Amino acid sequence: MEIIVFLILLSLGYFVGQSIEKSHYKNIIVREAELLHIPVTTDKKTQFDGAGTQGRLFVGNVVISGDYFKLVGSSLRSLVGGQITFYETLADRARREAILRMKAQANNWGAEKVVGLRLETSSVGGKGPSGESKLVSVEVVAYGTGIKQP
Amino acid sequence: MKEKFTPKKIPEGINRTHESQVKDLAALAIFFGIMLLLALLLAFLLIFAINSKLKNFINYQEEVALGARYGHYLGGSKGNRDKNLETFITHLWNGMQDDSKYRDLDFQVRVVAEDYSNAFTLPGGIFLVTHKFLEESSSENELAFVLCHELGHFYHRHTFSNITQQLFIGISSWALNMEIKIEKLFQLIGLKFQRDHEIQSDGYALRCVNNNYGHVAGSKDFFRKIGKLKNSKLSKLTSFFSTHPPSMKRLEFLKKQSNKYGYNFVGEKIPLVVHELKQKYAVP
Repeated sequence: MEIIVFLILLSLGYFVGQSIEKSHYKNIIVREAELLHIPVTTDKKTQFDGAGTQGRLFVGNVVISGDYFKLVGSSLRSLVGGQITFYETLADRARREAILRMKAQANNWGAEKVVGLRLETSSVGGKGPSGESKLVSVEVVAYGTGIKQP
Repeated sequence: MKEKFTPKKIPEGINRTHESQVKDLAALAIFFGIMLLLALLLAFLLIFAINSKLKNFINYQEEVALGARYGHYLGGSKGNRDKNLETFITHLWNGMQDDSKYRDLDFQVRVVAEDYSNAFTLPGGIFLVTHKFLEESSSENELAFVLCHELGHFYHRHTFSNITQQLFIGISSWALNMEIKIEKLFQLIGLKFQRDHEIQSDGYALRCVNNNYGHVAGSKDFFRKIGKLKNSKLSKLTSFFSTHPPSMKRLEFLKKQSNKYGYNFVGEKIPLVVHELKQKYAVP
C-alpha cells in the first residue's frame, strides 16, 4: 500500500510540478520582455544626471516550493553527491520572479533603471518538527535602488 | 560619451541543466536499488555463514546449557516445568542418540495454560506444551509423536535458522523501510522455510516414535484432530500464508515415509497417564 501511495505522490509531483513550472517559465519570459527596457545593474554608485534625480528602494520577494518528485530526487542525490539538478529550475524561477517583482514596482514608479541590485536567499521548511524531510521551499529577496530623472 | 542602453534578452536556460530529471531520478534509483540488493545479498551470505558455523560451534549439550542460562530472554520462563514430560522427552531423545555424549540432556518442558492444542520449540532445548494439548492427547504414542516432532526441530537446529532468518528479516526491513516496506515479502519467504522445517521434523518424529515403540501407531492422531478443527480444506492461498503445511499434506508425508522405511501404523497404543511418565521412564 505504501509503495502505491509513494508512486502516486511521485507521479503527481512530477506531472503537476512540471506543468506549474512550464507555465511559470512562460509567464516569466513574457514579463521579462515587457520590463526589458529597465536596465538593472549591481553598481554601488550611479552617475546622477543633474539635480532632481530621485532614487528609491524596491524590494521583490518570492517563495517557491518544490514538489515531491524533486524532494525524492534531491534526497537520493544528496546521498552520493553531485549537482542537484532537481532544484536548479526552482532556484532559477525564484530568482527571476523576485527580480521581476522588484522591476515591476520600479516600473510603476517610473524608474529608468535599477542600480545596486542585491539578491538574498533562504530556504523555508525542509525539516519537520521531528526532523523528517519536508518539501523544500526557496525564498528569494531582490532589492535595488530605482533611479528616476526629473 | 554617454552610451545608450540597448535592452538585450538574457539567453534562456543558462542557469539550469537540460538533462531530463526523470532520467536523473531513474539512474539514481537504479544505482541505489543495485546497492541495496548487493547489501542485502551480503547480509544474507553473512547471516547464512554465521548460521552454518553456529551449528559447529555450539553442540547440543552447549545449546541446552545456554537455554538454561538465557532461555528466559526468549520466553523460556513461561508456564511451569513438568518433570514427567521432561523425563519422557529425554527418554525419547536418548532412543535416537547413538553417541552417549548427547544423551540425558537437561531439556526443559513447560506446560503453558493456553486453550488451544499445540507445542513449540524454543532455542536452548526448551519446549512448550499447552495444557489443552495434554488434556486432548488420547495416547502416550500421540504425545510421543508431538514431542519427537519438537525434538526434530531441536535436532535439525531449526531454532538457529529461525533466529538468523528473523535477524535477516529485521535487517532487510530496517534497510528497506526508508521508503518502501517489503518486510511482509521476506516473511512469506521465511514461511516457506518454516513449512519445510515442519516436514523435516515430521520425518524425524516418525523415526523417533518407531525407535521407541517399534511401530508408529498414534502418530497421525494429532493431525487428524487439528485437521478436523481446521476442516483441512485450506485453500492454496491460506496454506501459502501458513507457518505449517496443511494437515492432509503432512499425513500424506507420514504415509510416504512409512512406506519407504517400513513403519507400521498398527500397534498397541498406550493410554496416557502424564503423572506416571517420570516413574516409568526415569533413567535408572
